Amino acid sequence: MATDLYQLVYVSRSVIEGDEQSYREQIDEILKVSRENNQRDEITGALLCNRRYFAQVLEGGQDVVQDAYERIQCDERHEQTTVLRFRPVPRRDFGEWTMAYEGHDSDALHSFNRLTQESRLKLEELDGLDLVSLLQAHLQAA
Amino acid sequence: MTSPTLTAERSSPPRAGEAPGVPPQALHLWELVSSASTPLGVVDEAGTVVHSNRALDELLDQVAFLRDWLGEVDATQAMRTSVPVEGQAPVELYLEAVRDGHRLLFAWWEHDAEAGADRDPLTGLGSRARFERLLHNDRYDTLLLLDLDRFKAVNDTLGHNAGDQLLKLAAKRLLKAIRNDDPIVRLGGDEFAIFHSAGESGLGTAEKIASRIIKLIGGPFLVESQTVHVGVSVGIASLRTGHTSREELYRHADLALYAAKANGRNRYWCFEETLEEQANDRRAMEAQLRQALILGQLRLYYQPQVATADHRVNGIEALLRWDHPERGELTPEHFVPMAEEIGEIRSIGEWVLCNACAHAAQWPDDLPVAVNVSAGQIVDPRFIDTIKRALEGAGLAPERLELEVTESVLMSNLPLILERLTEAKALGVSVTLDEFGTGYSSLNYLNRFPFGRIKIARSFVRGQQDDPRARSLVKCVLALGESLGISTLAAGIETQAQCDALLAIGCREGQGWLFGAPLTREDLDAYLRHQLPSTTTTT
Ligand SMILES: Cc1cc2nc3c(=O)[nH]c(=O)nc-3n(C[C@H](O)[C@H](O)[C@H](O)COP(=O)(O)O)c2cc1C
Repeated sequence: MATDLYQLVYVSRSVIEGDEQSYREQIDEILKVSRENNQRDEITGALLCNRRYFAQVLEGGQDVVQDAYERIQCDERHEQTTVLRFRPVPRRDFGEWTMAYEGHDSDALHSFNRLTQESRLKLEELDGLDLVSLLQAHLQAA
Repeated sequence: MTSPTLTAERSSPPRAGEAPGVPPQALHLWELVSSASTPLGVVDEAGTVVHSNRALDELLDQVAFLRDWLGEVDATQAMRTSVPVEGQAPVELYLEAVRDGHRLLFAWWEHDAEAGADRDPLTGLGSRARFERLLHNDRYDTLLLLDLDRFKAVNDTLGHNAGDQLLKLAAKRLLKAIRNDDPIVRLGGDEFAIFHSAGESGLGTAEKIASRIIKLIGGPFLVESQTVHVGVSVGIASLRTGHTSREELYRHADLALYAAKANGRNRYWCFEETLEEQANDRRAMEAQLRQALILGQLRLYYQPQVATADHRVNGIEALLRWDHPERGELTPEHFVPMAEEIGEIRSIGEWVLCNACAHAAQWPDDLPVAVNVSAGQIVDPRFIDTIKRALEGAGLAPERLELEVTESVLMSNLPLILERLTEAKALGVSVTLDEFGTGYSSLNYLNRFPFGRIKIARSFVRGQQDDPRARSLVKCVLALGESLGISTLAAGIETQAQCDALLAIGCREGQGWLFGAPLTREDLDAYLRHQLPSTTTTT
């Protein structure tokens, strides 16, 4: 039985299209399902996205994180998943959040935009820990 | 054991003390059966159903002749029989465990049959047995065969547990890629098959499924706290697009899968007639390769290895060629992989070693001979014996034999190959790491085996003159060799300018057209007579 606490950080390319309104609706839909499932599975974490990329942190038991990851990576709303970090951690960084969201007009989003706007961004070159710290800093400030 | 008849006598669950012949500890069986939703019954010694639940009752009502089931009731393992039902899929009956002196009978409709023996225990997909039956099911006109790329490497490096986990996760992703009622089976290892009914749409839907599979399997897997990347190759054959018979469906899909892999993996390929021709060609070539040795079509050439400073010979590499009756002279990369596949590599490898050693024994100045060895040769348990015999037969000192292995050989099965090379080294022969820089994690190999020499791949040698990066890499390898006490040799030197550039950065040994093309044995003898007397006197 894998009961250890694991943290997963990945980035992916969004393939969600449509105007701002329908985009937001789809993100809200993702968040709604995520929060329900994650609460059930005792997963915590945070999601960051702009129109082109997703970045997500998931933390919880190895099995449940792995299962959630399998569901998420097969989701047609994004592609080219790159795992930046998957390892045991001593404690949760997002203990209070079933799925914190840093999306619309947040500081974290602006930092993320800067991070992802490099003209030839290679997703695998992003640093998982940087993303965790970025999200954490903004959640604390919020 | 006689074959008892199954009769459909039903009884209500007995209460303790009321059911003659039913031991009290068996009563829980009645409860268990009553509460189950699958058709389930308790069978006595004679094969009579003494208790059944609602679902089995319904089944027994529909299938009056169930009593004809002739089952071996003393079977201790699950056994199964299939009962035909007119106008419907057959009913599968399973005799499961024997418990408390009673037997449990399970019944399934055919479409659920894979819940039993037809299921692959690891992934929960269909088994090979199910595949055989589906292959003849007219409902499906299209077959997709798939094979994970790089799965073996995962198994070898992370272990079988990780391999099994990966297969389970891959199976789940496959289920997400298909249309709901398309059956998937695991054929064994990392091979899977999907049955599909393309309907009027031709291959379009099958191709969509294949693309989706490639995308889903291509995403990273999380296995035992590691991120693992594999790919998948898919072959598609369909009754819709060709004159394929059901019998040929499998073979054609297999040919298409072969083509997908040959064309770079991680892609799908649809069967086409030309694949059949290619397969025939391949078969013909295999047959020819089996006879090549007997017919004397294999030949060794020899290429000098020299000091870059004065072109003095200090070793010779034996190069294998096949004079193919129709295709002309073939180099090893064109037939050694096939020789490995069809199991000819051992006799060919042995022939090369024996001949190269015998020839080398005639050379002056104790010049060493370098012989390329392939993965299939090394993993053969008789490899070390073959080397011993080649050396003894020729009367050649082991120190004069140098085995050359490429990184790709090491990659194929690192632990076993290193073990064998260590044994070879213990005999006194040396081992060279060939084509250095073309594989990956080369430093790891250098750390794990005491190579006597590194051979820098010709692509770097060619590039180093005008490409500063290639030049830095060559420099880096030279420094690496020096610090580890391993000699380095640059392969494929073609011009004096290349040679000068290499000399300038301290590369002391080379091989290539500049110093001499591969020579026949006779030409080599002449070359050595001509070369050595003059050079030996200059030292
Ligand atoms: C970027 C992104 C992030 C997601 N994050 C989660 C998550 O944290 N937890 C979750 O259960 N589902 C998440 N989902 C949704 C899953 O992909 C999937 O739709 C959901 O788990 C429902 O699956 P189910 O219908 O099999 O239950 C995410 C989807 C996307 C596109």
